[in-house]
Amino acid sequence: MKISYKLIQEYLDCSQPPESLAERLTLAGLEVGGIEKITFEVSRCVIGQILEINPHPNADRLTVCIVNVGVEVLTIVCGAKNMKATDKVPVALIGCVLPGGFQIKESKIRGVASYGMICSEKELNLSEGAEGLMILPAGAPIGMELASYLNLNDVILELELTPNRGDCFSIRGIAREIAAITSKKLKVPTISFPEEGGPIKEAVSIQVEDSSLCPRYSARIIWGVIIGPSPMWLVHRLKALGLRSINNVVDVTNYVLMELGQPLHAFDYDLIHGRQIIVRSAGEGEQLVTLDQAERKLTTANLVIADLDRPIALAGVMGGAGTEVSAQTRNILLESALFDQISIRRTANYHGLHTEASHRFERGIDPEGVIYALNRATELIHEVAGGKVAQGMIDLYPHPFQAKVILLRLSRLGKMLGLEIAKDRVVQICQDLGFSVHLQSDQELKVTVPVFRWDIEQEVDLIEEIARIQGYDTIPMMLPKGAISSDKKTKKRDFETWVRNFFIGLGFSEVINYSFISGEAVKNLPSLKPGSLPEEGIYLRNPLTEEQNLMRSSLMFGLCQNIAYNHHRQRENIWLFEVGTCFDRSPNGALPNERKMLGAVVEGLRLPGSWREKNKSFTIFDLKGVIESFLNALGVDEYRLSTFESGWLGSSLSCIILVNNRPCGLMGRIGDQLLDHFDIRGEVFALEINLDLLNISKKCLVKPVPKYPSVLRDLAAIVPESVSYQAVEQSIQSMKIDILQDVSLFDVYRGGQIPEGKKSFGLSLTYQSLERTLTDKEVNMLHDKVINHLSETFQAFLRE
Amino acid sequence: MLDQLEMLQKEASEEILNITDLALLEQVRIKYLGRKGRLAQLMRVISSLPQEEKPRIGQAANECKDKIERRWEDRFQELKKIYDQELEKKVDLTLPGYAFLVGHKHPITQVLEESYQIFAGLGFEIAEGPEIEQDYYNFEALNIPKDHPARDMHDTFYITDEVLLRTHTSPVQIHTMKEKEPPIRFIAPGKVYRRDADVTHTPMFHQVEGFLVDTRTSFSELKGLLTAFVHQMFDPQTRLRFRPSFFPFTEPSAEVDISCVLCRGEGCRLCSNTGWIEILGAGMIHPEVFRAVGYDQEKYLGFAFGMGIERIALIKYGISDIRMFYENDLRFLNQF
Repeated sequence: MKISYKLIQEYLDCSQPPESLAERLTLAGLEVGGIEKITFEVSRCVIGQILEINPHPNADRLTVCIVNVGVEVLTIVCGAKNMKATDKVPVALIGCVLPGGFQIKESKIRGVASYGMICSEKELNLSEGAEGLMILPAGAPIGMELASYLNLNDVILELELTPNRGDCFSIRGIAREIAAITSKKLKVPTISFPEEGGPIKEAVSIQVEDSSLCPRYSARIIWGVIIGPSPMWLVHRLKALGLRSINNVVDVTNYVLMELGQPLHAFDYDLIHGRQIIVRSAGEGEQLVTLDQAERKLTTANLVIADLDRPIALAGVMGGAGTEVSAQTRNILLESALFDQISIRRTANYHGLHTEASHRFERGIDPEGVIYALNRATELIHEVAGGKVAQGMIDLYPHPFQAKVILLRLSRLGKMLGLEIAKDRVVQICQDLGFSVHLQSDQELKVTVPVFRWDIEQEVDLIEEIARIQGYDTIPMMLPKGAISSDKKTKKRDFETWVRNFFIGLGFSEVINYSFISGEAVKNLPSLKPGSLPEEGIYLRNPLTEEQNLMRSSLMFGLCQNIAYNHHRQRENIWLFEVGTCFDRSPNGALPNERKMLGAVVEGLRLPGSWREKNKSFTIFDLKGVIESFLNALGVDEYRLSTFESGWLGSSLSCIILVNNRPCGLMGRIGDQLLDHFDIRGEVFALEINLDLLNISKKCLVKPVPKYPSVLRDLAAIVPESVSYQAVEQSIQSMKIDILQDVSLFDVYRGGQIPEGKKSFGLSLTYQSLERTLTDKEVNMLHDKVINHLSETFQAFLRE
Repeated sequence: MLDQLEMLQKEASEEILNITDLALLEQVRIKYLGRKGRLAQLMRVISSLPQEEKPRIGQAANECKDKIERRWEDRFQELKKIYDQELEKKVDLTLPGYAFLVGHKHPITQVLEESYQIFAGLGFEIAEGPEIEQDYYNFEALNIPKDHPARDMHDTFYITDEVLLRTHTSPVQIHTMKEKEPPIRFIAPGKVYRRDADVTHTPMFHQVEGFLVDTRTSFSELKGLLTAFVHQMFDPQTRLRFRPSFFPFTEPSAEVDISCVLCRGEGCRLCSNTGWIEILGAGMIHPEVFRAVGYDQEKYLGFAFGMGIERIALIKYGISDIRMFYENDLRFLNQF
C-alpha cells in the first residue's frame, strides 16, 4: 500500500525525515519496501491567463494567443483547441526546460514570432495522455511559478503490510502507528457540512436481513450534485497514492478509502428501484453486471446490496453497473458499511474479484470508524460536486462490538521475551497504542483493546505489541539452554549424504528437478516405472502449466530432460544423478506413498577426460560396475542383478536389482522411443534405486585380516553360448568350498581356437585359509574338483 | 686357449667401458656374446679339444662369459640411467593430464548439508515429513483456518480439497510435536511448493524449519540461536536485524534480515540499496499450535523458524536468477 508522507502530516506532526520514519516503521513490523520521491520542479513555468485567441495568418490549425504572465504580456503560437479566452494556463517561458529536456526558445512558427509555450499535462509530465492544454482553476494566481502553485513534492512510502493488520490499510491507520511509535498525539480533523436537503428517512428505506453478515450499514444522500472532473488537488493526491481519477464523486469515495481505510460506495439514487436498499444473500441464479462490465452469476453465498427488484452491488467487493454514478447523475446515495470478513473473502475468491474494498473488509475495518468515514466523504462530495446534503443519516448497527479486555502478566512477558520490561513502560506502550490499562495487581494488567485491532485476541498478542514497540533489538541474545533430546537420531540424511558423495566421487554431477512433470508426455512414453499406468498418477488440480501437472513416479523423466538440455548446449559425456522423492497413489491411505529414489544417467565416454583412451564408450557393463561398486561399498549382504524380462524404458537391455532377494531398482539402456521424445542422440544408460529399501546402516564389525598367504589359480572354461556367467559362478559357489575366497572373471573370449557356438570364461579363483598356509597339493586337488564340476555341469572343458 | 679367453675378456671389457651409447653397447653384446659372437666362435673350438681338457677350458670359458656379461650389464645400467634421464628431460610435461571425472554437488544440497552440520552442532536432530500433505497439517493445525487472509501468503497446489503440496516445512512441527513430548529441538529440511514462478520464485523450493520447545525457551534464545547460525553460515561479521512480522503460527513473530554480504551494508543491487537482506522468518510458537498438538500452553514455551535455502544460496554464491537452480545446466552446476 502506498502512503504519502505529506498526507500523514494531516494526522500527525511528524518531523522525522521520510527515510528514518521508514526505518522506524519497518522495525515496528510495518515493512517499508520502497521509498519513492515525487518531485515537480520545473522552473520558469508560470501561471498565465489567455487574453485573446487569434487565428494564425499562415496556418489553419494554429492559433496566436495573447497571454498575461504577470510581469508581461506575451504572444505565443499554440496548436491546441481546448482553451478559451480568460482560461488560466501553464506557460513555459523562454529558458524553461521541460521535463523531457526540451528547452523553450524564442522562435518563429510559420512566420509568427512566439515567446514561450502553453503546456499540456503530458508536456509537463503530470499525466500520461491528457490531450490539450492544461487548464488551471480560475483562482490560480497569475505569474506564480507552477511548481509552487501545485506543490506536488512528496515522498511515497510503499508499505508491505501483513494480513493481520487490517487497521493499517489507510493513511490514518499508519499515522496512528507512527503516533504510537513516537509517543505523539493523533490529530482528528473535525468534519462539518450543512444538512439542507430533504431528509433521508423520507427518501429511502434500508433493511439488513442478516446483521451477522453486515454488522453495520450506514448511508447519506446528497441531492443535486454536479458530476464532473475532480479538482486538481484531488487528482494529484489520488495519483500519488497510485489511483486514477474517474469523476469527482467516485474520486472522493476512493480517496476516503485510502485516507481512512473505510470502503465506500456511491449509488445513483434515481436508479435505485422502489427507494429501497436491502442487504441480503443473493438468490440462486441471480445475476449482476459489476462495474468492470462483467456479468456475474451469483450464489446464495454472495452477499448483495439489492433494491426492490434486483441486486445492485456485490456487497463489499464491487458496485453494479446498473446504478453507477455517471455524468447524468444528480442525486447520490452514499454507503458506508461493515461486512463480515469471511463472507467477503469467499465472495471475492469465488468471483476472482479482489478489490481495494474486499481486501480491507477481509482484513477487518474499524466498526467505530464507519460513520466518521461516511461524514468525511459527504463533506468532500459537498465540497467538490456541490449539492445539498439530506438531513440525517441511516445507521443500522444493532449489536455494537465490545472492546476486548485481556489480562497481561508481566512475569509471562518477561519469561517469553527473555527481557524484563518495567511496568510503567508497559503501561505507556499500551496507552500509546490506544489501549486502556487497569492495574489488576502489581504483576497483572487488564488491557482494553479498541475494536479496530482485530488481531489482538490474547495475552501473547499483547506481548508482541509490547515487544515490537520496545524494539526487538533491545532483547538480549543467548544460546538455548536446557536438555538436548537425542533418543533416536535420524540417520537417513547421513545416508543420503553418503550416497551423494559416492556418486560424485564416481564423476556424476547432481541435479535437482521439479517434482512435477508433464502428464501428457508420459502418456505416450514407455512406462518409466514398470507396472504403473499414467492415469493412476497423482495429478495437480491447479498446475501452473500442463507441463507440470503430474507428480513424478520416477526420476527418469527429469534426468532425460537434463541430458537433452545440456546436449542442446553442446555438452557431451553427461553423467548425472538425482536423489529425490517419487510419488505413487496409495491404495488405502489418505496420502500418496512417497519413496526416496536415486536415479542416474550416463551418456558418452567411459573416461571423458583422457586423451589416451578417448574412444572407449560407456557400456552396460560400466553401468553394472557402478551399481555393484555402490552396493559393495554400502556393505549390502547379498545382491543380484538379473535380466529384467519385461524390459525398462523401452529397452530389453535391462536388469532388476535385487538386494536380499527384494527388488530395489532397475538399470539398463534407455530405449529409442524415449530418446526420440527428448531428441537425444547416442546411447544413454540409466539406473534407478529405491533408497528407502537400502537404508541399512553399514555393518562395522571387522573381519579378521588373513595371516596366511592366498593361492591364486586360473582356469579357462569353454562353455556353450547359452550358459550365462552367473550360472557358472553360482555353480562354483554351490560347491561350498570353504577355502575358496573369491571367484572373479578376467576374460571372455570367442573365436580363435574356440569352437563355433562356444565361449571361454577366464576365471581367477582365490584359495585362502585363515588358519594355515595352504599346500599346493590340497589346492590342486580342490581346483581339479572345480574343473570336474564345471565339465559335468556345463559340458565345459579346459582351454590350454 | 686360456690365453685367448683371457684376451677376449680383456678386450671386451675395455671396449664395453669405452662405449657411451646404448645402441653401440648392444652391438658390442652381439659382437662378443651373440650366437655367432666371438665367444661363441671360441667355444666351438672346445668341442674339438681333447676330452680331459674340456672341463677346465669349459669352466674358464663360462667364467669369461660371466665376466663379460657382468661388465656389460653394469655398463648397460650406467648408460640406461643416463639415457632415461635424458629421455625424461624430453617429456612434454605441458601435455594435459588424463583427467578423472569429478562430479559436482548441487549448490542447494551444499547449503542444506552445511545447515545440517551447523544445527547438529547446536544439538538439533533432523525430522522429516511428507511433501504431499493434508490441509490440516499444512494450515489448520498451524492456526491458519480456511478463509483466513493468511492463506493468501501461500499460493497452494491442490490435489484434492484436503490434500495439497506442502507450502512450507512447518507441518513437520505438528507431526513431531504430536509424537514427542518436550523438550524437543529439531530441524526439518525439505522441498516445499508454491504456485508462483518468476525471477525470484520457483514453484518448488527448499526450506529448513527449526523448532525448540522447553520450559524456559525465550525470544532471547531464538535470537542467540539464529545469530550463531548466521555467523557460521556466512561469517561472524554479519549483523542480524529482527523485524516484527506476522505468521499465524508464531507470536511474537519476526523476520530476520542480515547485513548485505556483498556491500557490508553500504547498499547495492543485491540488497536493493537497503543494506539488509531478508533470510528467514521466526517467532515464538503460537498457543493455538500448542493447543492443536496437546502441549501444556502454560508449562512450555517454544520457538520456530523457517528459512528458504535458495535464498541463502543466492546470497552465498552471488546468483541473480533463482531459476538457474532448476535448469540443471552443467555450465552452472560444474562451478560448484
